Amino acid sequence: MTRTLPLDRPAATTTLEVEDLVVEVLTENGWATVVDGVSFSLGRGETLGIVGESGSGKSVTCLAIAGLMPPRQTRVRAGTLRLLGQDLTALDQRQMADIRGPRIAMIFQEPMSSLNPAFTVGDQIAEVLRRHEGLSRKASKARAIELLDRVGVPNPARRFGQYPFEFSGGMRQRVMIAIALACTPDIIIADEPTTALDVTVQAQILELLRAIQREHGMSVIFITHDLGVVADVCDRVLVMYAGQIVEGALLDELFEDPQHPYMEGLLMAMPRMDQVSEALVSIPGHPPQVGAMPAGCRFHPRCSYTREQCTHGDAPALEQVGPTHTTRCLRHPELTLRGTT
Amino acid sequence: MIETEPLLDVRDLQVTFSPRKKMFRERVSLRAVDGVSFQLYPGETVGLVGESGCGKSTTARGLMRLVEPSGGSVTLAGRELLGLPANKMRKARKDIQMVFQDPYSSLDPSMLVLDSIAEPIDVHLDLDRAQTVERVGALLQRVGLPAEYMYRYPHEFSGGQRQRITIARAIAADPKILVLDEAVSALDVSTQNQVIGLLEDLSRDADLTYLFIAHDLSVVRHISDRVAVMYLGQIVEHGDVDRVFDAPAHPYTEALLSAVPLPSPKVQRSRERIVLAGDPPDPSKVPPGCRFHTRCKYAMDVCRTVVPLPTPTIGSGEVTCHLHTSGPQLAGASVRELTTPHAAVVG
Repeated sequence: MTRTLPLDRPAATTTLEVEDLVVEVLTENGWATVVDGVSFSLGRGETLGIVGESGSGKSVTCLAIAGLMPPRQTRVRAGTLRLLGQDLTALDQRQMADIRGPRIAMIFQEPMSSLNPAFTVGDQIAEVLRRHEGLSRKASKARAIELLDRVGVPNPARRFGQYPFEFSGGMRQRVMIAIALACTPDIIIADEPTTALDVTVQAQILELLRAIQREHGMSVIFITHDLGVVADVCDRVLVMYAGQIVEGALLDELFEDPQHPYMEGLLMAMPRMDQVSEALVSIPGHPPQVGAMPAGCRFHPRCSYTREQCTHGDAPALEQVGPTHTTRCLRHPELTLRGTT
Repeated sequence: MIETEPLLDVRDLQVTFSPRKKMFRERVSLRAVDGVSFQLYPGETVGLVGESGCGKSTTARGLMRLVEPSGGSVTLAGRELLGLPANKMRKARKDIQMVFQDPYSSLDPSMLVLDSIAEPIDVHLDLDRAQTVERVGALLQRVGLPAEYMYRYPHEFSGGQRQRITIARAIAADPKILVLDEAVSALDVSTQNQVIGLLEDLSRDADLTYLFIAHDLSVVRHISDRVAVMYLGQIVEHGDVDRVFDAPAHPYTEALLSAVPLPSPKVQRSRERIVLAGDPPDPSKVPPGCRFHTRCKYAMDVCRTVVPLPTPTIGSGEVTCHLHTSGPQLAGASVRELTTPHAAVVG
């Protein structure tokens, strides 16, 4: 897997371009912004990690890209949202439904709630193939069994006719991957796909995703809070906090040379299994509530490097600090932050 | 080794379930816990790890008698718990309390925090109402929350705060042992670290002993003094936490540790990964011989037929694996010796 992808890629190899994505949700107190001006591009064959605590907007960003935010309670705006050159903002609900599956597929944390308990696993894979690829009943069944085999489900022909409850958590997640893979999409969005699994099963699923990506050259957006998983699978990483990207970098430079205090805090808070650690460090306080963003830098109430200049005005801009590295921190030139080795 | 008497001594614990199989078919009994023995010494934290379904939670529930064990013995400060009548068992629970993973379902949503925390006080301590209220206030402060929170309901709190409340309730009657079953697993890393810090303070100040059950091995390494690794209802390896993590003696421990991705891209790329094939076998169909042989990359002929016995490991603890007694004869050394001949062995 290549790990030297530049941050801004020439158009020919860019799968997805997102510019100034804004998502608002309707709360008791009116519209509140939960994703605030997110911009990034995703290269062909690239695995982009999005990390952050719960509520940072990482899942909402991806749901909005896939057109899966409920229309009445949410508003999605984007300057640019282009998939292989095609403008997604111009599409209506029905056209977006045609995009999901063949072009963008999603894998969620809870395979049990993504699979319909009343239909056999095989039916649910075959349905995607009939709906999007126009395959016949017979052809879709044969292809579904092939897919089950590819994702490592033993006895695929027998398992085709079984129901989700007859599968273990890891096997269900393999089924979800088979469904995502059914139409060989351009992008797979994986939202905490291994969080509910045992580490041994997680290792199998991550290996499977890697192999599939190598085979088909598809792009992957990988949402997780586990920095170990990020280090294992991603080429490049975006760090989100309170609805904004606060840092973006290639994998190694982010871990070795973080440029935002929030990322340093996340790295320092991870207990290391391979090391004896004294006291565990944590980032004090909690992320801000939706609709109650602090002035200035949104992280300033929890940041140990806060100065007067961080506490008022607009949020700092996302600045380029290296050819492939950006940060949203006013004090980055004067700070030396700790990374992992 | 610690020289004192164990506070809790679990010997050959068995928990058997008899699930209803399909109609007109024979009922198959399933040994979820099959001969588990370990000791908790005063003031120490013992970690219990393994994949889901390995029996670690059932071990905890069995020794608390929340499920009734079918055999073995559990002695708490010299007193046998198995077979105690219900009223005496309720009294014995003063000394051993449990904290579960989900603070949302372990607090009654219709009860004030005060009344939830007061329950164990009412059962175990002879206090009047004013003393109880005062004690609840002190307990809340002890877990890092304002005393006034006792007049609120659970829904008013975050996950981390709720877990602090359930810890306050667990320590309300001054127990000696806390059994923590995935107690920090549902929390964000920052909140998790704060709750772990609280648990460490409590064990130091209140001389608490912990059985810490978790699937997150990084957290287990941090908090535990000793660790036991379970597979299919049995402990396959135990020892001091650094020995087990740095020089695992059982191939299952080695595989489990290698599956945890480390938050360092360089280290992660250079590690050897052992991907265990398949899911753990069904506990109703335990393989003959060594239970792990179906997934073990070192499996020998003897492993398929003969049940291995525990042998001492170099450093501390025991391992139950034929590699140490027959074949390559590791004799208690780390299983990593087989792949990296010059691996450091903790002496």
